Amino acid sequence: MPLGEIPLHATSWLILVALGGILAVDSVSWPQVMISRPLISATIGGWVLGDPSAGFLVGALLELMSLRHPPFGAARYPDTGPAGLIAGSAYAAVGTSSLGSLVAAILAGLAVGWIGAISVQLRRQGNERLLSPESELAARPELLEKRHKTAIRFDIVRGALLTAGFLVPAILGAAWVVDQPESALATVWGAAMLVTALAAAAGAGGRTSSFGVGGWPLLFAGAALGGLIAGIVG
Amino acid sequence: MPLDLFRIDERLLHGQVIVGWGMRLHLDFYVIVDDDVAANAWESDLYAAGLPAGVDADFVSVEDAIARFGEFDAHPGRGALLTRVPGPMRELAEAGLLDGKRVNIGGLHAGEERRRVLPYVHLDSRDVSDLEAIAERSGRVTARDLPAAREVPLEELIRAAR
Amino acid sequence: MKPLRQDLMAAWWRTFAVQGSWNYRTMIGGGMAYSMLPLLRRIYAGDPVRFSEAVNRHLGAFNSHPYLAGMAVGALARAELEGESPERVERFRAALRGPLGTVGDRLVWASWRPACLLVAIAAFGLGLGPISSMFLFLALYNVGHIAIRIWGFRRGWQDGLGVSKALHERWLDVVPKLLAPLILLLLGLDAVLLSRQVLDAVAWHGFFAGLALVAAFVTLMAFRWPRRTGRIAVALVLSIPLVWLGLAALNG
Repeated sequence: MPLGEIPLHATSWLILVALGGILAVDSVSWPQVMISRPLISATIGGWVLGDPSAGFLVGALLELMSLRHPPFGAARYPDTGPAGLIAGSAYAAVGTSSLGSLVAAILAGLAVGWIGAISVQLRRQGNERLLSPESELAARPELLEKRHKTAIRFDIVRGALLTAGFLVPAILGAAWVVDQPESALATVWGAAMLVTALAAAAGAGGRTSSFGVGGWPLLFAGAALGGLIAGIVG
Repeated sequence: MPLDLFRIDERLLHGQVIVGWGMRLHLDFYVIVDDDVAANAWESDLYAAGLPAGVDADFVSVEDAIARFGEFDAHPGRGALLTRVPGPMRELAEAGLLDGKRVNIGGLHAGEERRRVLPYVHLDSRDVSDLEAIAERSGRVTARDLPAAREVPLEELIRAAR
Repeated sequence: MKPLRQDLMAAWWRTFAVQGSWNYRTMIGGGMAYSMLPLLRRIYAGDPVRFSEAVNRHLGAFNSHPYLAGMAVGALARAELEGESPERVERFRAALRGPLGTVGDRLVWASWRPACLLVAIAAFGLGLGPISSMFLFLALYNVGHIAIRIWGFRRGWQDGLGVSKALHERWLDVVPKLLAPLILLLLGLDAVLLSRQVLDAVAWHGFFAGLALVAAFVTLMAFRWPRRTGRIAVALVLSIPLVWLGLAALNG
């Protein structure tokens, strides 16, 4: 598609980069009201570029795919704030007419989430240095307050940098995909694989949340209900 | 049913144990062997607060653990035995209760004398001699924080601690 | 000296940032000390030595579910106020870490959060607008979130060493048990509604029955082997661009 048609301007880029920082810091550092969830960050990304529905759809798909990861312990988990924001804006930016742009947006989201997780680890190593030596911090609590706030500010900067670095490449990637000749077979494959991945995500997420109660029959009951509603409405 | 898991973990009952191991092994009860915790109701109540409904915990002193070991081993459910540090586990081993059993090291914090041998295991010379004594009187001693993680043999830990 | 209402408010507010300096050595130790400062300053007013000893204690390794960290802050501050020995406070701290993590993970991460997210996705799938659905999630979720924070901090401050009473309350067990079936139902519903949107987006509804069967089979596999099936699913998604490029090359 002609690059001029992409609704990303200097102002919207700046807004998205600032939002990237805010959504990143919410995830772990402060205040954890969950605007950092992919569902919310992707909707916001789509909203800024004029298509919140597109953002919500990408966000919901990413959300189901990450439902299996409750952060038990200190394991690495994707940084979903900037990732969802970028995925939602990429899909909204290039238009929702092709499956290719949806797949590109999802892959961008997964990739940024993964890279973001590495940046989270690096920042946590940095925090270790910020908080040493403890004896000095204990003797001067104002210093502890200052360092703690510095660590939070670093997290905002980290999210903004991540968004600044990957927003335009993700949108250009999605635009490039949209320009490729569509093959019916490829579209069928893509749609079928997305649905299969969604099914796998639902199963795995159900297992995590079920605590052994009820289990899969309830999941199928929900799916049947969904099928019924989809049949009536659609 | 004989106890399924013998674990040394400074944090005793916590997420890694209850979710990571407990759900994987379908554990029904835990025996926590620690003289201090067994003597303090507020402390044992607190540790037990993280357990899902239907899962029990018994807090016993080392002496009681040795006396009641047969009872735990004959319990109809699946169980795990936890100690905070290697010492109490050594006493169980020396009482001949761990013959052929595998002992898992799940977490020992950094301390002044302790050297880091794995991100979650720090050992001092006393820990090393306790662990060696356990190894002599049990099946196999390895470190592993979660069931899916790599099992690190004791020899490797001791090499790193020296 | 006993902390004033404003000190308690300040400490509660600071617990929103308790994970702000998360690090691999002490985890949220820095955040705990940071949150407790307004209380410790008052408790040890005029005694700088014991004050900095207390700060040092609370800088040590700690972990908890972030929303329940306030319970630890309140309970530990109460223990300090009542003059418990440092050794006892340390042991109390160690014992708090486990249950605050597992109770919070089970209640919030594995239960309340997915339930609220799935409600919002279902609302969208049933025709509510994207912005409204987004705010539906944020409002619903955060009512529970803030309530847990207020409850935890209050109970911690009230009960001190006896805080395990609060953690044994039945609702902490009942809520996840009640939400579990709802989550499963909504997951099935949402997966189907989203699939329909994906298929609508490409105007493709061929082989629908066949696809539904495959999806049902994969769901069952994932329920049984979440990790392995999850990896396969990621591989299948990654296969999409490869298949696209391959077919484009064949045709071109």
